[in-house]
Amino acid sequence: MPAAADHALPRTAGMSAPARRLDPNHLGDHLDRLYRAAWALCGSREDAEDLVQETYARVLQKPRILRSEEDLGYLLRVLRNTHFSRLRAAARRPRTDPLPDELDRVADARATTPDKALHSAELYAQIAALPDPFREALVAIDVVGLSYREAARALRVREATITTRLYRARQRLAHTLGDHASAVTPG
Amino acid sequence: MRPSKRHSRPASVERDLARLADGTLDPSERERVEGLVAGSAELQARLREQRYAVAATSSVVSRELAPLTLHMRRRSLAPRPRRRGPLFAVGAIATTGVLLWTLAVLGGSQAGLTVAQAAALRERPATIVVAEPRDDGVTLPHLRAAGLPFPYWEDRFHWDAAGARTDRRGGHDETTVFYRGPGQSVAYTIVSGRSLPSAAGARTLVRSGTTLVVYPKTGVVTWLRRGHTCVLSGRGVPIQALLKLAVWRGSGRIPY
Repeated sequence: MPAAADHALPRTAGMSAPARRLDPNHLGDHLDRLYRAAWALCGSREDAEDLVQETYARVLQKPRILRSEEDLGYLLRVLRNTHFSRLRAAARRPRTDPLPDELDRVADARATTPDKALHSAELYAQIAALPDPFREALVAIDVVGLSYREAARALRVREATITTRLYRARQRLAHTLGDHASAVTPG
Repeated sequence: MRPSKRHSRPASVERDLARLADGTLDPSERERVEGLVAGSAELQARLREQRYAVAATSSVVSRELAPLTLHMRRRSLAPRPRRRGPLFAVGAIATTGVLLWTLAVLGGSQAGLTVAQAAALRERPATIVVAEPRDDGVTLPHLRAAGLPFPYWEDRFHWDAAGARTDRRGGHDETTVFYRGPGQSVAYTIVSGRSLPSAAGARTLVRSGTTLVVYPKTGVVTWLRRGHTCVLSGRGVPIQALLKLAVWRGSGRIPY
């Protein structure tokens, strides 16, 4: 089926492209990857949906010219900037009480089984809890599937820097998930 | 093995391990780094951590798709289509002819949404990617209309779900999945809300416990699932093939 290609999440090639106009008609091709990235940034599926929609709304406000950059890398950068804008705006608003944690455990109606639903929510929550630079590197490369070069370009850092950040993000994630696994494993 | 000067710098080790873990390390470097790892229990443990994180992330992200609601919200933001060239005009004329023919036969002039209009969606393009189910699944994942899943027909009938689209007309949500067979295609639309009235030229029959309304001239079959109208439409597809698809319940695992 056609969807299988998208599931495979191949690393993109990292080729440079000349300056060109972003084609709004192809933006939908990246929706799944941006949604995953947004979920990993926000830690909440509902917030992720809003974030992706706002990102698309921003991008479509006016024609966009890309220079030596792939669509996905550009969209990821807009998504990240939109995320931080939302965080700043939220910080200025009065806070409401969060929902109880138990609700998260029954929220994923689309996952194949409840244990997988919990696993997804847990993983995205752990990624969202990483420090910003580490989280962004892991989202760009392991979640969205950008090459190291594309990720460095999208996040405006050196390739060596993003690689080091990715290492440390994975290291923290492995520790956290390992702790969680040992905490819930009986005996 | 004694670490090289290069690996006396921790950040350099980290970068090599990160790339070794996900398979992007340059082949010319791979042997050297693997040799270093083989000679150090500490590096082996650090590489295991990297691989564990990579595997955990990829196992989750590979199965998470954007929800249907987000596809619909994005589409509402999409720009209007551009003007097309002459080839598109030819295709559009042909498509319009098919639509007019279908509407004329199935009574598209009636007020409100009709079976004809729902069936005409078979000529529209897919806008949503459809995923495959896992293992022995009989329904398409992540895609429901009025709470009803769509069948997965590939294993049983060799009809591959090629894409989907959603529309809203006359107070009804219409969700359509396009299936592709050898040289043919069918569109399966679930129309939410009050059931659609039958049009002229219909025959009614009962098969496998399902009451089906058949329009032989236009290649359309309709039936109800939990009160919602299902419209199966295929151009050039034998009615018997449509009927077989329409009544398949996946050994009772597809809700009707």
